Amino acid sequence: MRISITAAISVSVLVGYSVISTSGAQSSTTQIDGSPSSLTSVAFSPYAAPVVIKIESSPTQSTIDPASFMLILDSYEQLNHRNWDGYDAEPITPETLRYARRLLRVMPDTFGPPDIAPSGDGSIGLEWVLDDGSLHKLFLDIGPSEEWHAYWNRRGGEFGRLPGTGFDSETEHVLQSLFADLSGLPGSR
Amino acid sequence: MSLSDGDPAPDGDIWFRIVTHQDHLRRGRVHHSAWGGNAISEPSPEKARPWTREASGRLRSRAGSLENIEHAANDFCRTAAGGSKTFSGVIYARVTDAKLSFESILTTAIHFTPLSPDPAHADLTFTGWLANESKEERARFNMWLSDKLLALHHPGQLFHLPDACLPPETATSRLKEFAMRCIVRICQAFTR
Repeated sequence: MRISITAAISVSVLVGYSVISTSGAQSSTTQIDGSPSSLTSVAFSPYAAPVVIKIESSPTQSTIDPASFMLILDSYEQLNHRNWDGYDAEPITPETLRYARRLLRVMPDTFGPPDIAPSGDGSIGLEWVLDDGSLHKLFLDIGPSEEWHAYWNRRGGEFGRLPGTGFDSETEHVLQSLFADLSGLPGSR
Repeated sequence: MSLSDGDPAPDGDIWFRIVTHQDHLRRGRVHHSAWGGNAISEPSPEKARPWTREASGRLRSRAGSLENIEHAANDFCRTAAGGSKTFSGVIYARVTDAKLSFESILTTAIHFTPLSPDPAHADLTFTGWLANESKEERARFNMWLSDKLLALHHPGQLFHLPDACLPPETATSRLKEFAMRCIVRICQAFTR
């Protein structure tokens, strides 16, 4: 009974997002279209790393303290010009910074605060490199403009990724679920 | 050791790259954002390099003392980088440790590529590249590269940059090297 409730909630939230996972040389892309069967295909596909996105009806994880990160992002405002790094970088635009601020306000603190850095392609990169647990590294690139791209390596070498665009009422839930799944929190599977 | 433009750097040398944004080095690691955009770029077509992509850096053996390195880095931040950058540290690797392969997609190495303003210039080179710059391959590449190079923060850690460890030059070794280079050039001329 509980499973079916979870699935129903998941389906309503995940429309429009795709989970992409690879293991070794194989890879697969699964567009979650809202049907319960498609969710099952993500969970049991022989090509997919064990990544299942499930959405709780109310988030239970807290988010990172945004104040310190806002100061970092504020400092990137001066990078709104080409070649800010001396290696021909693209500008970090105000649009990308605005988007990064919105995402960071809802970013789960499951793995602690990320290391943030501006990238030469105009995006802002977040990094979590973990000493223990099944997850080894999680990178999340924000921008350019309103898109984000999370990708990770588990300690066993499995690679996975999850792209997203825009910001709406579901964005926080998607991030919460991703982090819960990657952390192996009870109830995330 | 005498080197010409485009030669592989000797194994005992150290390649390093000036970091111009403090956030690209975090807690002794190289942040993956340090490699975004044109940090790894196509070589100039006029040079007709045998590699596919390159990232600028310098050779320790030719860069002088640590004071010289710091001075050159500050100059780079003042001039080439548009004047508002801060020398924040270096990314570095032993040349021998920089000979790597990523899946079956590309291999890396260090090549000596002197420039008129920087006679110590050398590139971290990539032979082969990501197909169509696909996001998935780039993501896997970022993950892979993030563990391969070392980081030293500045100020405070530059003195940890290792010295190059090259064999002493003798007349015989120079003659042998010259002969080898001639053979390589002749072979290259025939294969073109």
